[in-house]
Amino acid sequence: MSCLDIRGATITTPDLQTESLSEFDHGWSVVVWNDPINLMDYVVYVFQKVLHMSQSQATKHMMEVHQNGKSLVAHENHEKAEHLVHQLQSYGLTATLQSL
Amino acid sequence: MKIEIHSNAISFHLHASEAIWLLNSFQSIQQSYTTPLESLPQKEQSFWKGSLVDPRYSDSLLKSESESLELERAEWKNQRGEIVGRWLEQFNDFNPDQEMKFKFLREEADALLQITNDRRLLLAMNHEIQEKDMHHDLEKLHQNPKAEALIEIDFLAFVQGAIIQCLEYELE
Repeated sequence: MSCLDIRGATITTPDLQTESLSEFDHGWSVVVWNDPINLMDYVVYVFQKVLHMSQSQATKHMMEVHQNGKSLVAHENHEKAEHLVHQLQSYGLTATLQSL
Repeated sequence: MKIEIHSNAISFHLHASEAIWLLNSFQSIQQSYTTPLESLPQKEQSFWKGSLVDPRYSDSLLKSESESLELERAEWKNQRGEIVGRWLEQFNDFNPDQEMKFKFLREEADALLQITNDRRLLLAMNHEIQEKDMHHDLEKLHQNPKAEALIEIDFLAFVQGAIIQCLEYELE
């Protein structure tokens, strides 16, 4: 968004180019998929460590992965989401990037 | 196994049988880490390359990002190979008739989790271990490579549980 000051009145107008880029850049999800090998406690630990979740948040997402087969654990811009996928994969979790 | 937590390190006092399992796991994963990617079986190559998107969908739209992931995963493979190489040196004087102390730096605790997990995932992939296999009764397992893989996966889960217990103090 950009701001213009005309005769004392502040008019806010959308900067179209920035807005469309921003919209694209915020449309990425990080999804963690279920697998039969990773321990529940391990997944909770990794969510806390990488995603800075509380113990209860991490446990909730771990259970979602376990019961529903996947959990959307973050919604970020492209760069941050990609970084989180790398981090989660470094611990052996099946994490993917998904465009919304 | 007894655990000793120092200011900057953690020690596992292992029974001889536990030390043998850990030694075998380290040697096996080290083999995978140090073997060039192109010399590994196709399945292991795919494992190390990883995938940025749900494999059911094409990742052609994220080609450069996928290549970047592949490079980063190759780097982890090399780095972890070096770490395990250092840890294996602790086993040089290992006497199978005695207990053994395995010591690692606190800053290496996450690497130990990642390395033991790599080994668990590779074992599961190579022996096609599914969810139902994980609920096995150890006493009813017949002696075959899949049963041995399940026992190693269980042993490494035990090791991971011990590490996580140590690290939970830091997260709280």
